[in-house]
Amino acid sequence: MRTEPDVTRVVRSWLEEGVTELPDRVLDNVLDQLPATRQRRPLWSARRFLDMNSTLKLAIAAAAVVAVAVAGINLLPGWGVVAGPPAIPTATPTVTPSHEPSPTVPYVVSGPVSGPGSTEVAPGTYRMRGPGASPAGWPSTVIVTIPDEWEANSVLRGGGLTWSNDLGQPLARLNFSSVGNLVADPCASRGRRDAMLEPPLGPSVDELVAGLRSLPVFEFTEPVDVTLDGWAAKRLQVTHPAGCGEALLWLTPPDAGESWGISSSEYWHSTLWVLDVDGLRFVVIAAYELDARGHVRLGLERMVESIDIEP
Amino acid sequence: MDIELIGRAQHGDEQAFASLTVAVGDRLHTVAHRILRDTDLAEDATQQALLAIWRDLPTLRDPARFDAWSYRLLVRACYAEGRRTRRWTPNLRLLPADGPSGGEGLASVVDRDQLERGFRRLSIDHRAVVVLHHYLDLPLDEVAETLGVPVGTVRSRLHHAMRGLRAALEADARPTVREAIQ
Repeated sequence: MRTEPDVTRVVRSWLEEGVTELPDRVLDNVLDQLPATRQRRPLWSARRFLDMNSTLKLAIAAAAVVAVAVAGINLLPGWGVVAGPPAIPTATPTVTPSHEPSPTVPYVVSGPVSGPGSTEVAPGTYRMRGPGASPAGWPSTVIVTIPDEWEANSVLRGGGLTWSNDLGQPLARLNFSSVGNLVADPCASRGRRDAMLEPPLGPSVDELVAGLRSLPVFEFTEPVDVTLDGWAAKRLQVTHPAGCGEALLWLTPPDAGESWGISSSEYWHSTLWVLDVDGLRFVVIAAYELDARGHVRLGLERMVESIDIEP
Repeated sequence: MDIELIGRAQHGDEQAFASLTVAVGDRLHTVAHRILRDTDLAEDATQQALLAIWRDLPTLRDPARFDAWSYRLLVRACYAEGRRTRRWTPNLRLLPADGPSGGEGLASVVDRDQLERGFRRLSIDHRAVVVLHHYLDLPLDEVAETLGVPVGTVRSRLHHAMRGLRAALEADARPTVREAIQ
């Protein structure tokens, strides 16, 4: 039996643990949106409105309506407020926007993106590269086409393409990832680094497949030999254990001092392709929410079929 | 907090707000992460809170109250994120460079796991009170002011939350579900 001060001390100690730094990209996203986010004036200054003539009142009221509408659009989920890869500097749909390589995140080299500072993506073909100047575990380029029926509020985030509904709730996602090492017990790890697989995972496709299938609690199907864009691959599906919450499955290879992790979730169905791209192991993950309708799943299948990997 | 900086940002100075954001961003994110227990949700909540701060800053009458006021907007953003994303999504996410090391501090690995589970069972209301009081060390009356609720409500929520966390900690003596089914 613990005393109350004991519990308080343990809780306080536990609260000290965890992330402390806000990533720069989040700050960048905020600052990018300031010009389109109108500040609310205090109510007491509205009194000045009474002294204006009718024409001026109407003009200001109309301007306010427009500003609110613009601000509203910018605050819709998936329309520029979602944290993600660095902004792509273009104001209108274009074929080849330029972009400085990011040191830490996968990013889009080119595609029909729209909106400065936005992470939204429109239907079209995208060329993606991995993080860093020499992305560890990434092929040189991954090309993928978002079909026409995908809504414009699909967003990019952390190297994945997401299809969300009007409420910003994700329905399907396509991720690309390299794999450094597996988390020993995804359900229990909570993302802690002291729970990685020992000895570390080897570099081959078979080692990753065997490692995944040996993870506790998680259930992966028997791997099936397939090809994706002509590359040999093992395809397997994963059932997320009930009650496991968010579970970190693996970390990417260390790159630029930061690590990314792939997490799995309840209520989602995920299919993994573990590819051998000229000796390089690379993973494609297609996932959809279990409630997602047929056209969402079909769209996801078409995206997978469109993948073109350049070694 | 730099009152002059806040004043300039209140009058629409984006450069001043950028400096303000750098100054408070980590702190807000840290609190959001402790409430939501999820890196992605915490980043989104912090981003929303910072935009809300920019939007509503001109309405802040007393710049000296900036900290408490910003926490109130952050907690609101945490509510919104908690509601919006009940179902986690498969995702690629950046991990902290300095993850907690095992064996240090008062919370053992088992304690941490039990606390994590117990904390996730609490509502955002209760989590916010625990974090503001036990992490930020705010007195109960300041927690009440920050959240816009009576002090009695804060006291009640804190009592309920700590009782839940104590129960979670004491559950470590019982077999986990996984142990029970093996």
